[in-house]
Amino acid sequence: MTPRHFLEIWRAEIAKLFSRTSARAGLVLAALVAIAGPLFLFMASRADIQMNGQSVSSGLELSGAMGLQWALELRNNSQILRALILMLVALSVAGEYRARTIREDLIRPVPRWAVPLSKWLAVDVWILASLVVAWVFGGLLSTIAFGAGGTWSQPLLGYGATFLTDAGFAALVLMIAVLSRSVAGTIAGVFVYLILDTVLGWAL
Amino acid sequence: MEVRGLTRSYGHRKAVDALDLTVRVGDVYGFLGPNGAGKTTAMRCILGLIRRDAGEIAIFGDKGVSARRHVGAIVESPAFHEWLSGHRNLVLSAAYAGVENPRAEVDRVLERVGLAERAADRAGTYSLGMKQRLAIARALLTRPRLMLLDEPTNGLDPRGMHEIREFIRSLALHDGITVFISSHLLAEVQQICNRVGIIQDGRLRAEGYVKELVSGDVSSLVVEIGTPEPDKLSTALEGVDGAEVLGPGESGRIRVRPGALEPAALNAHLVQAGVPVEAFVPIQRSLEDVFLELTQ
Repeated sequence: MTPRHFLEIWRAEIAKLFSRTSARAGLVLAALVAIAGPLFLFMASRADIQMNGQSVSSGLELSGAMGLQWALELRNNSQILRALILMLVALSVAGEYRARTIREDLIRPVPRWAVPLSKWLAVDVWILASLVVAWVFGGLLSTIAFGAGGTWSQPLLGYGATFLTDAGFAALVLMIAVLSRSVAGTIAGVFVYLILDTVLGWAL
Repeated sequence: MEVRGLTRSYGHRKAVDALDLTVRVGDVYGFLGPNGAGKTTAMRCILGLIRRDAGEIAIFGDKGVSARRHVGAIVESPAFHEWLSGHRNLVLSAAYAGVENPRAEVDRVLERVGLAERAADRAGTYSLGMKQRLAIARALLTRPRLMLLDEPTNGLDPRGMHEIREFIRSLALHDGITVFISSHLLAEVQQICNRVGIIQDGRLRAEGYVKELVSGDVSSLVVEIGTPEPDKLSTALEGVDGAEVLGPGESGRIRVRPGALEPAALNAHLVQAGVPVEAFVPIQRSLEDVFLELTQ
Protein backbone atom coordinates (compact mmCIF):
# COMPACT_ATOMS: atom_id res chain seq x y z
CA MET A 1 0.00 0.00 0.00
CA THR A 2 1.39 3.39 -1.00
CA PRO A 3 1.29 6.43 1.34
CA ARG A 4 -0.87 8.17 -1.27
CA HIS A 5 -3.44 5.35 -1.18
CA PHE A 6 -3.55 5.55 2.61
CA LEU A 7 -4.05 9.34 2.42
CA GLU A 8 -6.98 8.76 0.02
CA ILE A 9 -8.55 6.32 2.49
CA TRP A 10 -8.01 8.75 5.35
CA ARG A 11 -9.60 11.55 3.33
CA ALA A 12 -12.58 9.30 2.55
CA GLU A 13 -13.02 8.49 6.24
CA ILE A 14 -12.85 12.20 7.14
CA ALA A 15 -15.49 12.99 4.51
CA LYS A 16 -17.68 10.13 5.77
CA LEU A 17 -17.36 11.21 9.41
CA PHE A 18 -18.09 14.87 8.73
CA SER A 19 -21.14 13.92 6.65
CA ARG A 20 -22.75 12.47 9.79
CA THR A 21 -25.32 14.75 11.40
CA SER A 22 -23.97 13.83 14.84
CA ALA A 23 -20.47 15.00 13.89
CA ARG A 24 -21.77 18.34 12.61
CA ALA A 25 -24.00 18.80 15.63
CA GLY A 26 -20.96 18.00 17.78
CA LEU A 27 -19.04 20.91 16.26
CA VAL A 28 -21.96 23.24 17.04
CA LEU A 29 -21.98 21.88 20.58
CA ALA A 30 -18.21 22.46 20.87
CA ALA A 31 -18.78 26.09 19.85
CA LEU A 32 -21.62 26.51 22.38
CA VAL A 33 -19.57 25.04 25.22
CA ALA A 34 -16.69 27.35 24.26
CA ILE A 35 -19.00 30.37 24.31
CA ALA A 36 -20.35 29.32 27.71
CA GLY A 37 -16.79 29.43 29.20
CA PRO A 38 -16.27 33.22 29.08
CA LEU A 39 -19.95 33.73 30.02
CA PHE A 40 -19.45 31.67 33.19
CA LEU A 41 -16.27 33.61 33.96
CA PHE A 42 -18.19 36.86 33.59
CA MET A 43 -21.05 35.61 35.79
CA ALA A 44 -18.61 34.32 38.41
CA SER A 45 -16.84 37.67 38.53
CA ARG A 46 -20.16 39.40 39.17
CA ALA A 47 -21.37 36.94 41.80
CA ASP A 48 -20.33 37.33 45.41
CA ILE A 49 -18.67 33.96 46.00
CA GLN A 50 -17.04 33.61 49.41
CA MET A 51 -14.53 30.91 50.40
CA ASN A 52 -12.99 30.85 53.92
CA GLY A 53 -14.31 34.35 54.46
CA GLN A 54 -12.56 35.74 51.39
CA SER A 55 -14.16 36.83 48.15
CA VAL A 56 -13.20 34.48 45.33
CA SER A 57 -14.91 36.54 42.70
CA SER A 58 -12.79 39.61 43.23
CA GLY A 59 -9.61 37.52 42.70
CA LEU A 60 -10.67 36.27 39.27
CA GLU A 61 -8.51 37.39 36.37
CA LEU A 62 -10.71 38.80 33.65
CA SER A 63 -8.76 38.42 30.43
CA GLY A 64 -9.20 36.93 26.96
CA ALA A 65 -6.81 34.07 27.79
CA MET A 66 -8.61 33.30 31.07
CA GLY A 67 -12.00 33.23 29.31
CA LEU A 68 -10.61 30.68 26.88
CA GLN A 69 -9.17 28.68 29.77
CA TRP A 70 -12.62 28.58 31.37
CA ALA A 71 -14.08 27.33 28.10
CA LEU A 72 -11.58 24.46 28.13
CA GLU A 73 -12.29 23.65 31.79
CA LEU A 74 -16.00 23.54 31.02
CA ARG A 75 -15.41 21.23 28.03
CA ASN A 76 -13.21 18.84 29.95
CA ASN A 77 -15.22 18.76 33.18
CA SER A 78 -18.61 18.38 31.55
CA GLN A 79 -17.37 15.32 29.52
CA ILE A 80 -20.02 16.16 26.94
CA LEU A 81 -17.57 16.28 24.03
CA ARG A 82 -15.94 13.06 25.22
CA ALA A 83 -19.34 11.37 25.15
CA LEU A 84 -19.67 12.55 21.56
CA ILE A 85 -16.24 11.12 20.69
CA LEU A 86 -17.39 7.81 22.16
CA MET A 87 -20.50 7.90 20.00
CA LEU A 88 -18.66 8.90 16.81
CA VAL A 89 -16.04 6.16 17.14
CA ALA A 90 -18.69 3.58 18.04
CA LEU A 91 -20.74 4.58 14.98
CA SER A 92 -17.83 4.66 12.57
CA VAL A 93 -16.43 1.27 13.62
CA ALA A 94 -19.04 -0.88 15.40
CA GLY A 95 -21.87 0.86 13.52
CA GLU A 96 -20.23 -0.09 10.23
CA TYR A 97 -19.90 -3.70 11.36
CA ARG A 98 -23.61 -3.69 12.20
CA ALA A 99 -24.53 -2.10 8.86
CA ARG A 100 -22.01 -4.41 7.12
CA THR A 101 -20.56 -1.42 5.23
CA ILE A 102 -17.08 -2.09 6.65
CA ARG A 103 -17.06 -5.42 4.78
CA GLU A 104 -17.01 -3.49 1.49
CA ASP A 105 -13.80 -1.75 2.59
CA LEU A 106 -12.18 -4.92 3.89
CA ILE A 107 -12.51 -6.74 0.54
CA ARG A 108 -10.47 -4.01 -1.15
CA PRO A 109 -6.75 -4.54 -1.68
CA VAL A 110 -5.76 -2.75 1.54
CA PRO A 111 -4.06 -4.19 4.61
CA ARG A 112 -6.44 -4.66 7.54
CA TRP A 113 -4.65 -2.21 9.83
CA ALA A 114 -5.31 0.63 7.38
CA VAL A 115 -9.07 0.53 8.00
CA PRO A 116 -9.17 1.20 11.80
CA LEU A 117 -6.12 3.48 11.61
CA SER A 118 -7.78 5.71 9.00
CA LYS A 119 -10.97 5.80 11.09
CA TRP A 120 -9.03 6.78 14.21
CA LEU A 121 -7.14 9.50 12.35
CA ALA A 122 -10.44 10.80 10.96
CA VAL A 123 -11.84 11.07 14.49
CA ASP A 124 -8.62 12.86 15.47
CA VAL A 125 -9.32 15.41 12.74
CA TRP A 126 -12.81 15.89 14.18
CA ILE A 127 -11.34 16.37 17.68
CA LEU A 128 -8.91 18.94 16.27
CA ALA A 129 -11.74 20.67 14.43
CA SER A 130 -13.84 20.82 17.61
CA LEU A 131 -10.90 22.38 19.48
CA VAL A 132 -10.28 24.91 16.71
CA VAL A 133 -13.98 25.81 16.71
CA ALA A 134 -13.83 26.16 20.51
CA TRP A 135 -10.67 28.30 20.30
CA VAL A 136 -12.15 30.60 17.65
CA PHE A 137 -15.60 31.07 19.26
CA GLY A 138 -14.45 31.02 22.87
CA GLY A 139 -11.40 33.18 22.14
CA LEU A 140 -13.40 35.68 20.09
CA LEU A 141 -16.09 36.16 22.71
CA SER A 142 -13.54 36.24 25.49
CA THR A 143 -11.40 38.84 23.73
CA ILE A 144 -14.45 41.01 22.99
CA ALA A 145 -15.64 40.75 26.61
CA PHE A 146 -12.35 40.99 28.50
CA GLY A 147 -9.73 42.25 26.03
CA ALA A 148 -6.77 40.41 24.55
CA GLY A 149 -4.75 40.33 27.77
CA GLY A 150 -3.53 37.37 29.83
CA THR A 151 -1.15 34.49 29.27
CA TRP A 152 -2.24 32.85 26.03
CA SER A 153 0.34 30.08 26.21
CA GLN A 154 -1.59 28.49 29.09
CA PRO A 155 -4.83 27.81 27.17
CA LEU A 156 -2.74 26.87 24.14
CA LEU A 157 -1.00 24.15 26.16
CA GLY A 158 -4.35 23.14 27.67
CA TYR A 159 -6.00 22.75 24.25
CA GLY A 160 -2.97 20.78 23.01
CA ALA A 161 -3.15 18.45 26.03
CA THR A 162 -6.90 18.03 25.52
CA PHE A 163 -6.27 17.00 21.92
CA LEU A 164 -3.82 14.34 23.03
CA THR A 165 -6.04 12.94 25.80
CA ASP A 166 -9.13 12.94 23.56
CA ALA A 167 -7.17 11.20 20.79
CA GLY A 168 -6.02 8.63 23.33
CA PHE A 169 -9.59 8.16 24.51
CA ALA A 170 -10.70 7.70 20.89
CA ALA A 171 -8.01 5.02 20.44
CA LEU A 172 -9.30 3.19 23.52
CA VAL A 173 -12.89 3.34 22.23
CA LEU A 174 -11.74 2.16 18.81
CA MET A 175 -10.04 -0.90 20.28
CA ILE A 176 -13.16 -1.82 22.25
CA ALA A 177 -15.33 -1.21 19.15
CA VAL A 178 -13.15 -3.48 16.99
CA LEU A 179 -13.43 -6.22 19.61
CA SER A 180 -17.12 -5.86 20.42
CA ARG A 181 -18.37 -4.98 16.90
CA SER A 182 -21.51 -3.53 18.46
CA VAL A 183 -22.40 0.06 19.32
CA ALA A 184 -24.04 -0.91 22.62
CA GLY A 185 -21.14 -3.24 23.44
CA THR A 186 -18.65 -0.45 22.79
CA ILE A 187 -20.46 1.98 25.06
CA ALA A 188 -20.81 -0.67 27.78
CA GLY A 189 -17.14 -1.64 27.39
CA VAL A 190 -15.96 1.95 27.77
CA PHE A 191 -18.12 2.44 30.86
CA VAL A 192 -16.76 -0.76 32.40
CA TYR A 193 -13.24 0.48 31.68
CA LEU A 194 -13.94 3.90 33.23
CA ILE A 195 -15.53 2.36 36.34
CA LEU A 196 -12.65 -0.11 36.78
CA ASP A 197 -10.17 2.72 36.25
CA THR A 198 -11.85 4.81 38.97
CA VAL A 199 -12.21 1.89 41.42
CA LEU A 200 -8.61 0.77 40.92
CA GLY A 201 -7.51 4.40 41.24
CA TRP A 202 -9.13 4.56 44.71
CA ALA A 203 -7.88 1.13 45.75
CA LEU A 204 -4.30 1.73 44.75
CA MET B 1 -8.78 -18.41 -10.03
CA GLU B 2 -7.12 -21.47 -8.54
CA VAL B 3 -8.21 -22.58 -5.09
CA ARG B 4 -6.25 -25.50 -3.66
CA GLY B 5 -6.87 -27.30 -0.37
CA LEU B 6 -8.88 -24.44 1.12
CA THR B 7 -9.84 -25.33 4.68
CA ARG B 8 -11.63 -23.35 7.34
CA SER B 9 -12.96 -24.73 10.62
CA TYR B 10 -15.25 -23.30 13.27
CA GLY B 11 -14.33 -25.21 16.40
CA HIS B 12 -14.31 -28.89 15.48
CA ARG B 13 -16.59 -28.42 12.49
CA LYS B 14 -14.94 -28.02 9.10
CA ALA B 15 -17.02 -25.47 7.20
CA VAL B 16 -14.74 -25.79 4.18
CA ASP B 17 -12.67 -28.93 3.85
CA ALA B 18 -9.74 -29.13 1.41
CA LEU B 19 -11.72 -27.37 -1.31
CA ASP B 20 -10.27 -27.23 -4.81
CA LEU B 21 -11.79 -24.94 -7.43
CA THR B 22 -10.61 -23.94 -10.88
CA VAL B 23 -12.24 -20.97 -12.55
CA ARG B 24 -10.92 -20.39 -16.07
CA VAL B 25 -10.60 -17.06 -17.85
CA GLY B 26 -13.94 -16.20 -19.48
CA ASP B 27 -15.96 -18.63 -17.37
CA VAL B 28 -19.31 -17.80 -15.87
CA TYR B 29 -18.90 -20.22 -13.01
CA GLY B 30 -21.78 -21.29 -10.79
CA PHE B 31 -20.88 -22.21 -7.23
CA LEU B 32 -23.67 -24.40 -5.90
CA GLY B 33 -24.45 -26.12 -2.66
CA PRO B 34 -27.23 -26.59 -0.11
CA ASN B 35 -27.61 -24.23 2.84
CA GLY B 36 -24.66 -24.58 5.20
CA ALA B 37 -22.53 -26.31 2.56
CA GLY B 38 -19.73 -23.77 3.01
CA LYS B 39 -20.26 -21.52 -0.02
CA THR B 40 -20.25 -18.20 1.80
CA THR B 41 -17.36 -19.28 4.06
CA ALA B 42 -15.35 -20.21 0.97
CA MET B 43 -16.15 -16.87 -0.68
CA ARG B 44 -15.22 -14.99 2.48
CA CYS B 45 -11.89 -16.82 2.57
CA ILE B 46 -11.27 -16.03 -1.09
CA LEU B 47 -11.97 -12.33 -0.41
CA GLY B 48 -9.82 -12.26 2.72
CA LEU B 49 -12.77 -11.39 4.97
CA ILE B 50 -11.92 -14.35 7.20
CA ARG B 51 -8.67 -16.22 7.68
CA ARG B 52 -8.27 -19.68 6.21
CA ASP B 53 -6.73 -22.51 8.19
CA ALA B 54 -5.00 -23.98 5.17
CA GLY B 55 -4.88 -23.79 1.40
CA GLU B 56 -3.78 -21.54 -1.40
CA ILE B 57 -5.75 -19.03 -3.45
CA ALA B 58 -4.30 -17.56 -6.62
CA ILE B 59 -6.16 -15.04 -8.77
CA PHE B 60 -4.62 -14.36 -12.15
CA GLY B 61 -1.40 -15.70 -10.64
CA ASP B 62 -1.39 -13.29 -7.67
CA LYS B 63 -1.79 -14.30 -4.03
CA GLY B 64 -2.68 -12.46 -0.82
CA VAL B 65 -3.84 -8.83 -0.66
CA SER B 66 -2.51 -8.02 -4.14
CA ALA B 67 -4.74 -10.74 -5.67
CA ARG B 68 -7.81 -8.75 -4.59
CA ARG B 69 -6.96 -5.92 -6.98
CA HIS B 70 -8.25 -8.17 -9.79
CA VAL B 71 -11.55 -8.78 -8.01
CA GLY B 72 -14.88 -7.01 -7.79
CA ALA B 73 -17.31 -8.59 -5.36
CA ILE B 74 -20.78 -8.57 -3.90
CA VAL B 75 -20.97 -10.58 -0.71
CA GLU B 76 -24.45 -11.30 0.63
CA SER B 77 -26.86 -8.35 0.50
CA PRO B 78 -25.37 -5.02 -0.62
CA ALA B 79 -24.67 -2.50 2.16
CA PHE B 80 -24.32 1.26 1.72
CA HIS B 81 -24.10 4.39 3.82
CA GLU B 82 -27.81 5.09 3.57
CA TRP B 83 -27.57 8.81 4.34
CA LEU B 84 -25.15 9.43 1.46
CA SER B 85 -25.99 9.59 -2.23
CA GLY B 86 -25.23 6.67 -4.52
CA HIS B 87 -22.54 8.78 -6.17
CA ARG B 88 -20.93 9.69 -2.84
CA ASN B 89 -20.96 6.05 -1.72
CA LEU B 90 -19.04 5.08 -4.83
CA VAL B 91 -16.53 7.93 -4.45
CA LEU B 92 -15.75 6.70 -0.92
CA SER B 93 -15.38 3.13 -2.18
CA ALA B 94 -13.12 4.33 -4.99
CA ALA B 95 -10.73 5.74 -2.38
CA TYR B 96 -10.45 2.34 -0.72
CA ALA B 97 -10.04 0.64 -4.08
CA GLY B 98 -7.20 3.02 -4.98
CA VAL B 99 -8.94 4.11 -8.18
CA GLU B 100 -7.13 6.73 -10.25
CA ASN B 101 -9.42 9.57 -11.30
CA PRO B 102 -12.30 8.40 -9.07
CA ARG B 103 -15.00 10.84 -10.19
CA ALA B 104 -14.68 9.88 -13.86
CA GLU B 105 -14.69 6.18 -12.94
CA VAL B 106 -17.74 6.61 -10.71
CA ASP B 107 -19.59 8.34 -13.56
CA ARG B 108 -18.56 5.53 -15.93
CA VAL B 109 -19.84 2.70 -13.72
CA LEU B 110 -23.06 4.53 -12.84
CA GLU B 111 -23.71 4.94 -16.55
CA ARG B 112 -22.87 1.27 -17.11
CA VAL B 113 -25.49 0.05 -14.61
CA GLY B 114 -28.07 2.66 -15.66
CA LEU B 115 -28.12 4.60 -12.40
CA ALA B 116 -26.65 7.90 -13.60
CA GLU B 117 -29.97 9.72 -13.28
CA ARG B 118 -30.55 8.63 -9.69
CA ALA B 119 -26.91 9.03 -8.62
CA ALA B 120 -27.58 12.15 -6.56
CA ASP B 121 -30.36 10.51 -4.52
CA ARG B 122 -29.69 9.09 -1.09
CA ALA B 123 -28.84 5.37 -1.21
CA GLY B 124 -31.46 4.81 1.50
CA THR B 125 -34.19 5.71 -1.00
CA TYR B 126 -33.11 3.07 -3.57
CA SER B 127 -35.14 -0.07 -4.21
CA LEU B 128 -33.44 -3.43 -3.65
CA GLY B 129 -32.90 -3.84 -7.39
CA MET B 130 -31.26 -0.40 -7.60
CA LYS B 131 -29.07 -1.22 -4.61
CA GLN B 132 -27.99 -4.41 -6.32
CA ARG B 133 -27.10 -2.43 -9.44
CA LEU B 134 -25.25 0.11 -7.30
CA ALA B 135 -23.36 -2.79 -5.71
CA ILE B 136 -22.40 -4.05 -9.16
CA ALA B 137 -21.26 -0.51 -10.05
CA ARG B 138 -19.12 -0.49 -6.92
CA ALA B 139 -17.63 -3.86 -7.83
CA LEU B 140 -16.84 -2.54 -11.33
CA LEU B 141 -14.95 0.51 -10.04
CA THR B 142 -11.57 -1.19 -10.24
CA ARG B 143 -12.20 -2.60 -13.73
CA PRO B 144 -11.95 -6.11 -12.28
CA ARG B 145 -11.04 -9.19 -14.31
CA LEU B 146 -13.00 -11.42 -11.94
CA MET B 147 -16.39 -10.76 -10.35
CA LEU B 148 -17.46 -12.71 -7.28
CA LEU B 149 -21.19 -12.53 -6.76
CA ASP B 150 -22.88 -14.10 -3.75
CA GLU B 151 -26.59 -14.71 -4.44
CA PRO B 152 -26.82 -11.69 -6.78
CA THR B 153 -30.56 -12.02 -7.42
CA ASN B 154 -31.54 -12.75 -3.83
CA GLY B 155 -34.69 -10.89 -2.80
CA LEU B 156 -35.33 -9.35 -6.23
CA ASP B 157 -38.66 -9.46 -8.05
CA PRO B 158 -38.79 -11.34 -11.41
CA ARG B 159 -38.03 -8.19 -13.41
CA GLY B 160 -35.09 -7.33 -11.16
CA MET B 161 -33.80 -10.90 -11.40
CA HIS B 162 -34.02 -10.78 -15.17
CA GLU B 163 -32.16 -7.45 -15.29
CA ILE B 164 -29.33 -8.66 -13.08
CA ARG B 165 -29.10 -11.95 -15.00
CA GLU B 166 -28.84 -10.10 -18.30
CA PHE B 167 -26.29 -7.78 -16.79
CA ILE B 168 -24.12 -10.68 -15.61
CA ARG B 169 -24.30 -12.16 -19.11
CA SER B 170 -23.20 -8.87 -20.62
CA LEU B 171 -20.31 -8.58 -18.16
CA ALA B 172 -18.95 -11.84 -19.46
CA LEU B 173 -19.78 -11.27 -23.12
CA HIS B 174 -19.05 -7.58 -23.62
CA ASP B 175 -16.64 -6.70 -20.81
CA GLY B 176 -14.70 -9.98 -20.90
CA ILE B 177 -15.02 -10.37 -17.14
CA THR B 178 -14.78 -13.83 -15.60
CA VAL B 179 -17.75 -14.30 -13.27
CA PHE B 180 -18.07 -16.52 -10.20
CA ILE B 181 -21.62 -16.78 -8.87
CA SER B 182 -22.88 -18.44 -5.75
CA SER B 183 -26.58 -19.16 -6.07
CA HIS B 184 -29.40 -21.39 -4.91
CA LEU B 185 -31.36 -20.80 -8.11
CA LEU B 186 -30.33 -23.79 -10.18
CA ALA B 187 -32.42 -22.90 -13.21
CA GLU B 188 -30.78 -19.48 -13.21
CA VAL B 189 -27.30 -20.98 -12.96
CA GLN B 190 -28.10 -23.37 -15.79
CA GLN B 191 -29.18 -20.40 -17.91
CA ILE B 192 -26.16 -18.19 -17.39
CA CYS B 193 -23.22 -20.37 -16.31
CA ASN B 194 -21.00 -22.47 -18.54
CA ARG B 195 -19.25 -24.26 -15.66
CA VAL B 196 -20.30 -25.19 -12.14
CA GLY B 197 -18.81 -26.52 -8.94
CA ILE B 198 -21.08 -28.30 -6.46
CA ILE B 199 -20.10 -28.24 -2.82
CA GLN B 200 -21.53 -30.19 0.12
CA ASP B 201 -20.30 -30.38 3.70
CA GLY B 202 -17.41 -28.14 2.70
CA ARG B 203 -16.12 -30.52 0.03
CA LEU B 204 -16.34 -30.29 -3.74
CA ARG B 205 -18.68 -32.99 -5.06
CA ALA B 206 -18.44 -32.19 -8.75
CA GLU B 207 -16.95 -29.60 -11.05
CA GLY B 208 -17.33 -29.29 -14.76
CA TYR B 209 -19.13 -27.86 -17.76
CA VAL B 210 -22.90 -27.60 -17.30
CA LYS B 211 -23.52 -29.37 -20.63
CA GLU B 212 -21.40 -32.35 -19.62
CA LEU B 213 -22.97 -32.62 -16.17
CA VAL B 214 -26.57 -32.52 -17.40
CA SER B 215 -26.00 -34.88 -20.34
CA GLY B 216 -24.51 -37.52 -18.02
CA ASP B 217 -23.93 -41.10 -19.32
CA VAL B 218 -26.35 -43.49 -21.09
CA SER B 219 -27.36 -45.16 -17.82
CA SER B 220 -28.78 -41.87 -16.47
CA LEU B 221 -30.90 -41.17 -19.59
CA VAL B 222 -34.68 -41.07 -19.08
CA VAL B 223 -37.33 -41.31 -21.82
CA GLU B 224 -41.03 -40.54 -21.58
CA ILE B 225 -43.19 -42.83 -23.68
CA GLY B 226 -46.82 -42.27 -24.57
CA THR B 227 -48.78 -45.48 -25.17
CA PRO B 228 -52.39 -46.65 -24.64
CA GLU B 229 -51.05 -50.07 -23.59
CA PRO B 230 -48.70 -49.65 -20.66
CA ASP B 231 -48.76 -53.34 -19.75
CA LYS B 232 -47.33 -54.22 -23.16
CA LEU B 233 -44.62 -51.62 -22.61
CA SER B 234 -43.62 -53.19 -19.28
CA THR B 235 -43.49 -56.63 -20.81
CA ALA B 236 -41.38 -55.40 -23.72
CA LEU B 237 -38.89 -53.76 -21.36
CA GLU B 238 -38.40 -56.94 -19.31
CA GLY B 239 -36.08 -58.33 -21.95
CA VAL B 240 -33.83 -55.25 -22.07
CA ASP B 241 -30.77 -55.21 -19.82
CA GLY B 242 -31.01 -52.40 -17.23
CA ALA B 243 -34.31 -51.02 -18.53
CA GLU B 244 -37.07 -50.19 -16.07
CA VAL B 245 -40.33 -48.29 -15.74
CA LEU B 246 -39.85 -45.35 -13.37
CA GLY B 247 -43.47 -44.25 -13.10
CA PRO B 248 -45.81 -41.64 -14.56
CA GLY B 249 -44.28 -38.67 -16.35
CA GLU B 250 -45.67 -35.51 -17.99
CA SER B 251 -49.10 -35.52 -19.72
CA GLY B 252 -49.90 -39.15 -18.82
CA ARG B 253 -46.73 -40.53 -20.44
CA ILE B 254 -44.65 -43.22 -18.73
CA ARG B 255 -41.15 -42.46 -17.58
CA VAL B 256 -38.69 -45.17 -18.58
CA ARG B 257 -34.97 -45.76 -18.09
CA PRO B 258 -33.77 -47.38 -21.38
CA GLY B 259 -30.86 -49.22 -19.76
CA ALA B 260 -28.32 -50.53 -22.27
CA LEU B 261 -30.24 -49.30 -25.34
CA GLU B 262 -29.79 -45.94 -27.06
CA PRO B 263 -33.13 -44.07 -27.46
CA ALA B 264 -33.45 -44.93 -31.17
CA ALA B 265 -32.76 -48.62 -30.51
CA LEU B 266 -35.28 -48.64 -27.68
CA ASN B 267 -37.94 -47.13 -29.95
CA ALA B 268 -37.25 -49.79 -32.61
CA HIS B 269 -37.39 -52.53 -29.95
CA LEU B 270 -40.78 -51.33 -28.68
CA VAL B 271 -42.28 -51.13 -32.17
CA GLN B 272 -40.92 -54.60 -32.94
CA ALA B 273 -42.53 -55.89 -29.71
CA GLY B 274 -45.87 -54.50 -30.85
CA VAL B 275 -46.10 -51.61 -28.39
CA PRO B 276 -48.17 -48.79 -29.94
CA VAL B 277 -45.83 -45.81 -29.33
CA GLU B 278 -47.70 -42.48 -29.57
CA ALA B 279 -44.94 -40.31 -28.10
CA PHE B 280 -41.26 -40.80 -27.46
CA VAL B 281 -39.53 -37.94 -25.59
CA PRO B 282 -35.95 -38.24 -24.30
CA ILE B 283 -35.75 -36.16 -21.11
CA GLN B 284 -32.59 -34.16 -20.55
CA ARG B 285 -31.57 -33.95 -16.93
CA SER B 286 -31.65 -30.53 -15.41
CA LEU B 287 -28.92 -29.08 -13.25
CA GLU B 288 -31.39 -29.53 -10.41
CA ASP B 289 -31.44 -33.31 -11.03
CA VAL B 290 -27.64 -33.40 -10.99
CA PHE B 291 -27.53 -31.25 -7.87
CA LEU B 292 -30.05 -33.43 -6.02
CA GLU B 293 -28.24 -36.61 -7.00
CA LEU B 294 -24.91 -35.30 -5.79
CA THR B 295 -26.13 -33.73 -2.57
CA GLN B 296 -28.53 -36.45 -1.37
